[in-house]
Amino acid sequence: MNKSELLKSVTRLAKTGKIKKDELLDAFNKGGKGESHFQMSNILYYIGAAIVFMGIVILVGQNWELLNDFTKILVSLGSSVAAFIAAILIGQKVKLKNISLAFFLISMLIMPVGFGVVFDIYHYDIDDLFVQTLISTISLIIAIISLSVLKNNIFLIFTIIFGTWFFFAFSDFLFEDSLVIDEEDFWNYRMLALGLSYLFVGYSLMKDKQNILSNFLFAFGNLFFLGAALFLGGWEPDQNILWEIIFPGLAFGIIFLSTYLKRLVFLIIGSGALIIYIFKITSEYFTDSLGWPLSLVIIGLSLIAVGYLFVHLNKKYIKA
Amino acid sequence: MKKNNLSLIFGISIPILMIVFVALSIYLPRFFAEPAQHDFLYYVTDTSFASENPESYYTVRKGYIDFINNNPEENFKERSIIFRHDVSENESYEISYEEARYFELDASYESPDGYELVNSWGGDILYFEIGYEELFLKGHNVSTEMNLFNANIYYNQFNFLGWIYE
Repeated sequence: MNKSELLKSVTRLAKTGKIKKDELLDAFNKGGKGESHFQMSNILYYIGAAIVFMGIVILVGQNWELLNDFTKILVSLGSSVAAFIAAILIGQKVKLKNISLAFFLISMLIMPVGFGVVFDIYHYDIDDLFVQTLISTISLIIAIISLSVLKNNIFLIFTIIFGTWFFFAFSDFLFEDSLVIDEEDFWNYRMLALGLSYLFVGYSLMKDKQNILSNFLFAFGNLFFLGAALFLGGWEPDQNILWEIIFPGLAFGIIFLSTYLKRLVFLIIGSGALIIYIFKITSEYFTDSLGWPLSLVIIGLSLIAVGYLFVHLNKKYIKA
Repeated sequence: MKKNNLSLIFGISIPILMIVFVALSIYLPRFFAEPAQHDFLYYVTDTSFASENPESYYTVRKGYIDFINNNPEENFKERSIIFRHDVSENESYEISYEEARYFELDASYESPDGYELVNSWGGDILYFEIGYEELFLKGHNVSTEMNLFNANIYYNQFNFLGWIYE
């Protein structure tokens, strides 16, 4: 079957509804490497954008006292709008599509700073949690609209960043004048929820094989989730036995997921968390009764076991 | 529904549900809890001219405010302000010592209707300093930050006197 015949077959199957767009893209992605967003030139564009962002922030910071209110808004929020418009115009040319991403990056980075400047000029305290909630909400809405209209992964990243910011700002705002639960526990529970949320969102992005973002979400999701669970366990004499008992189950669960999803990041973080847990529990409970030398032997043997598990699972399920 | 979409919905729902849960756990008990009934008295003192001699102070004896004048030279009354905190309005009003003498007070930590004053960490208010920490009225699974009088300098030591019976 040559190319034109193949395309005709695809058209025929699509008309009759026997093939879906996702299935076709999946098949295509399996065959070729596709276009990665993280080629060398792209990385340089992004680094360039980050440097431009830093330059604008330093320029404004150094001359803050000299600028009047209008100029302050112009150089901050104005730069963001200008970079956004420039990105759309540049993106019209297919060849310059990647450069337009760099301009979108500049725009999204400066946008919250710009809103902060506007609120500051109108005498709002930008450290105030209500103002933080407001700025994060506006930024999040703009990122979501941009994502749905322009369908670009860069907005997906900022939707997640602004969403995370909104989550913390708004929950802090709600919690501000209340003492219902311990502040440290509240922080840990939020990290736990955020970690879980990142894992689910990361999984939903796995269908797009080229989407490197899912790996980042898995990495941060696992770190937040297991990190928070470890901190919730506390330390003797203020430990929380329930979390200390649950923790190895969670770490093994993450290690198991590495075999199911075939992602090394789960195995690395799950094993790392298990090693930290072994150190913690041994030094917390066994150093007094068994003494340090014997505790070190237990730690050493446990590490060998975790190391073996890591190599075995990696070879059998992930690399295979 | 596709597995991926379901996973995305789960991912977004978790933080939203947590916010809803936190909001409910904070605001729902307020609908059911009896609002605090008893205002409280406190005083603050300008400590900038404090001498090494034993200080004068206000206290509560036999249910009424009393002035212990340990050092007449330090003009304690002029350097101190007594406040009545209205818990329903969450506002403090300055009152004179003479006005305060008419109030029957309960100097215990817990108010007659089961509320107590705690610091930002839920701890006691023995060394509470206005401007450095927040004061909360806590009880019946509800806690509310109190808007205290907040002077610029020197008037920072919060001295609780008692709950007002009326």
